[in-house]
Amino acid sequence: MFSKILLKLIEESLIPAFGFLLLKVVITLYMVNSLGYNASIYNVFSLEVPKDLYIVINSYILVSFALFCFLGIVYTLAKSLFFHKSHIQPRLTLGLYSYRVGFLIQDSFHLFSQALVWIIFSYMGFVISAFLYYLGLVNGYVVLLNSILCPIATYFYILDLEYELEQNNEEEEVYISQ
Amino acid sequence: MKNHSILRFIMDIILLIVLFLLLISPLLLTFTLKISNLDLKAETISKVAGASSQKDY
Repeated sequence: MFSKILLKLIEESLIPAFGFLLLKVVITLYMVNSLGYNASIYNVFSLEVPKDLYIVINSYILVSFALFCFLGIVYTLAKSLFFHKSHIQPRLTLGLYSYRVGFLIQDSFHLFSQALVWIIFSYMGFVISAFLYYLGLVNGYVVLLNSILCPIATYFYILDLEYELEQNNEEEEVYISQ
Repeated sequence: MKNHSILRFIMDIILLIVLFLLLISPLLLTFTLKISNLDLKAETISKVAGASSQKDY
């Protein structure tokens, strides 16, 4: 009844969305309170700050979003390269299970949907930071950082996808030759 | 069979909307911060004061 891939994408986007929310609250509270304004968890979503502070806070939040997304993509792709279910070494599998981190071993469906969610997040961050820069509400380096990190992340994703396809083709060839 | 495919289509649309909201909502949180008018007022006052003081001289 439900599309499997859409459900998976929703499931995978829950943790990053919650992470972003937490990041936004922590950064806003830290910066506003350190600059002498009175902010708490109750009024963090209805704060009024001067424009200078608004620009600084938004810039920091969007930079953290971009770095968080990039780290998420790198983590997912590292899992895909080293701990993929189809090509993980037996010794490494044993080691991971002995350290109780067996959850790191995943298949392509999980890994690529995770990476896709991170990439969508990073592109959305880029679009929003470009829009805010156009309105003069963030610093220029935020857009620059986003415009560097987004293509790098996409490039890594494509490289990993190609590697995965090559592995699948090799396995098929071995299977056919046998 | 036809009913099933229509139901599936509607469910997919609902899931797509949920996914879109989940993806866009954390970034839209950046807009929850508001610019206070206090500094604008201060700017206006300083401009007016500047203009009047220029007039005096």
